[in-house]
Amino acid sequence: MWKSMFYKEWIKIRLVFWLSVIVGVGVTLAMYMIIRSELADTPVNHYLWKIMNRDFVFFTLFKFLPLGIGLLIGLAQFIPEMTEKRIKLTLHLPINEEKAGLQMVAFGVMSLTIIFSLMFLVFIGIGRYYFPYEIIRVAAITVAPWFMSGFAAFFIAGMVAIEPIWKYRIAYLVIGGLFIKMFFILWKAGSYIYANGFFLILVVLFSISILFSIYRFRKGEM
Amino acid sequence: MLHKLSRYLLVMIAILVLAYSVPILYNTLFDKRINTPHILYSALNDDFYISRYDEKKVLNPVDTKGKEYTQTEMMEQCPMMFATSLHQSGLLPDSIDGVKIDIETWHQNFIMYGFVPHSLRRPADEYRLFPLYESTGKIALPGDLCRIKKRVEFVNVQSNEVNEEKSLLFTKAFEKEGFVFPAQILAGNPSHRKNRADGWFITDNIGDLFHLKMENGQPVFNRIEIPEDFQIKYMQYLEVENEKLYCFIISEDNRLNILYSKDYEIVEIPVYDYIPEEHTIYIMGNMLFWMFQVNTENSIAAYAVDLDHNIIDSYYEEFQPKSEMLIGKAYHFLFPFTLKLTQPRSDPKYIDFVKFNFDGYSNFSWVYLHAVLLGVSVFLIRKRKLRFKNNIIDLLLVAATGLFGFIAINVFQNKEY
Amino acid sequence: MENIVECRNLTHYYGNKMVYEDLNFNIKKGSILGLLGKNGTGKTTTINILNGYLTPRSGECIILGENSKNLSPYVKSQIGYLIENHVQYAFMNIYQIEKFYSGFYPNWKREAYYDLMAKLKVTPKQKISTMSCGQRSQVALGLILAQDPELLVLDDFTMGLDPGYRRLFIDYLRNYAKAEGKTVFTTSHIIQDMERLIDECIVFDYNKVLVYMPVKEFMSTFKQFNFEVTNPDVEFEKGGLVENYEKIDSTIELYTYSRANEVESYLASLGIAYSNFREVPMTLEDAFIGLTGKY
Repeated sequence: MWKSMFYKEWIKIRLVFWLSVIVGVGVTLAMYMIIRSELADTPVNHYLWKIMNRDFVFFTLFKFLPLGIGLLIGLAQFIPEMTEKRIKLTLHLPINEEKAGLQMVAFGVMSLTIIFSLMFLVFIGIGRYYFPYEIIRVAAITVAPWFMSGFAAFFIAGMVAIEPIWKYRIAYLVIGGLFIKMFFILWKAGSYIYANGFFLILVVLFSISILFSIYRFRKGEM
Repeated sequence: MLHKLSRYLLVMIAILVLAYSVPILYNTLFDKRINTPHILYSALNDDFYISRYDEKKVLNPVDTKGKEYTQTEMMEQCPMMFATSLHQSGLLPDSIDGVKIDIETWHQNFIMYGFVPHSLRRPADEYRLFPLYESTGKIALPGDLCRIKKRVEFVNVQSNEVNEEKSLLFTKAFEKEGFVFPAQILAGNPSHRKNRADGWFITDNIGDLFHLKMENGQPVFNRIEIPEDFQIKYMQYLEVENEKLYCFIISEDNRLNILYSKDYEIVEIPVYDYIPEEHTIYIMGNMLFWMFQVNTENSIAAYAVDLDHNIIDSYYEEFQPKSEMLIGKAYHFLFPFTLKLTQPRSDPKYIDFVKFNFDGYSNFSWVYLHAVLLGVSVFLIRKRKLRFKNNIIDLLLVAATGLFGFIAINVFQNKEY
Repeated sequence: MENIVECRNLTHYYGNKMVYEDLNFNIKKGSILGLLGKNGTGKTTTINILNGYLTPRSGECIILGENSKNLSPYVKSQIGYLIENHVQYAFMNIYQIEKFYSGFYPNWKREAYYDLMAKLKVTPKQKISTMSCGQRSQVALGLILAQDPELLVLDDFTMGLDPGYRRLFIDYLRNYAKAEGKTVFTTSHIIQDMERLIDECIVFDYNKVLVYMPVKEFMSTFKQFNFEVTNPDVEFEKGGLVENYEKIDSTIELYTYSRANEVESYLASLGIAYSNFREVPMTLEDAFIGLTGKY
């Protein structure tokens, strides 16, 4: 049954999925192209010196990309469910309603994991070619909350889309927006080194948030 | 059952988000700056001068007896601070207490330095790579970076590969001095815009202190004898004109020390109430005396210290902390606790980091608002004809988290169907 | 005969607005029940309660032995559900949607679906969202036929269908239900052609149930009498003998469950002068309008 559910979700997001892969990996590659041309003008040691001593973040281009992708995948998955209240069809499938909701979320999380892993591998892989381990380690620490914000945005999109009442949708959006903001407070590389673990826990806990909206829908809130 | 869990998780996250965001909103709307006075010491008068500011203007400085001065008068009384402008207007005295004063000597010996908690820990420290400059000859950014982990390694930045030969050479020098890998604290000046390269001051894995320099491509590596039971907590390298000192060192028991360049002598400064993780210390040194100013949240202390490190004079002042002002009281009335992701008051050394810090429950001012919100919640439960049994956790959340919990449980409502 | 659906004392409000109170009805195995009513009388509310998308203020629905608040996957597999406007996963084409649903139902009848699809003039890759309302209704119906459920719940399936498709849908459905012994629960606010389909009907008005009986019984006992009155200001009291009436100039259309002679003696007892008293034959639609009024 999860195969069928994944098939449905795949039909909904496949376009957005490939688009995200192309844009995500494309921007990462483009970023290194820019760096390569910068390194033609600036010696590497000066470039690295700027990174380490002037808080220069060489990958800002990357910043809101995972957030946008998470949001896009979330909307692609859950807006078709809410147009004409199609979620009724999904909830009517001969499978437990919570399981149905979690399968949809699981599919989205898997898709995001694939896209983000590709981006991350390209980012780290090429980065490691140019720069020493230490630089890339701090870069990884820095992009981690950006990727986590993508997952959070996905969960928020699902929760807001499924919520039946507009008033609450707005309330969720406000809380969700403030939550997302927490992933982008400081811009210095390495700032999140002490917070990543905590954020990871929060995002994992947040993953079943859609069940609350599904429950409200099933109880006839409108 | 899972949907109930999902609701509590959402409520919990909402409480965290609100505990972070709402106090920020409050502070942006109502926060008041505390203008800490600025203290100067006059070697002419052997007295402190206190300059205060308020919202609009700089007030006239006063001395410790309360006598008021004009700005110009104060500048004349404190030539060690304002030597440059006094020299321009020809008012710099020729000598003080028998010491001949000229602008060049003054310049060489003048040090202004500050330790703020957040300079103790910076995200950039995470890189743990540094350029080792050639101490002889012209200073230019090297083509490799040094790391000290299991051994000393030099990474060629162009090829991104380890220079094995150089690495081996330096590792051997380290081993010869008994350095225990990996390195802990690295203190030095990474900048290439400087006149001389003193190299790096490095502690090893057991806390011993070493000095690393490179001369003609060869390692110059010395062990620095440290007093017994002396544990280094923070170390800050200073590039002073007169080359008399290398570093400020703060020990594990929060003593401020100076590492002089002559014989690597470590001298303790008689300032005893300084907590580096919470207080800010300003250090002013010149050819006649040292002055240390320690700022805490609600006090300021200044110490004038002679060149033999004995206290000449001290000044202390307390002022009303924010928590006792109206905005601070209202703050504690509204919020039982706050979630600080940056600029934590409890541990300000993490200012440049995002870190989950809970500040709060330090007093009981929040009790009143919590009681009111609890009452409103009970009223709402009755009005919505809900069962108390099902809302016990919600009520406990309101009791414990006040405003945050109240908003959270009403955004994510506990409905019974 | 065994009841597939039993609804007991259903009461629901939206806020303070009552939808209905103490609604009771059963659906016998193999019968076709039509829930008729104008817009906004609670038809979809009932369907939502039946499918577990709404928990009633009080009362309960038992479907195939389970409370509709918590239907097990097995019981859900035995309910074929057609949403208002034939809503389906419109981002799929007819092959994708079949592939999707077939994974959920072990007894999926692929041929039943494709037999019906063969009659549609759609291209294989055409998305459902680009199909006409009639075509979409056939897709939705085909999926239900392939699911082969015990109970079919159809929410206002006639909406948006042109007469041809409506007829096609109704005839196909009735033949199928009767041949396979399926139970059908359907709602509609368009009554035309409904008598071809349903065995029993419930007629909803705002806040109350007007009729709950077999269609045949309703059609044979509910009557319309027309007559002219000399005094055009005459008024009748509803609720006793008179279920409803309409006045057009001096002509009265009177709707009642009573026989002609009973009506005439009732008129006489009120001292109303009338002429040209006659019974008018009605379709189900006429009866529905007569009963619920035109407004």
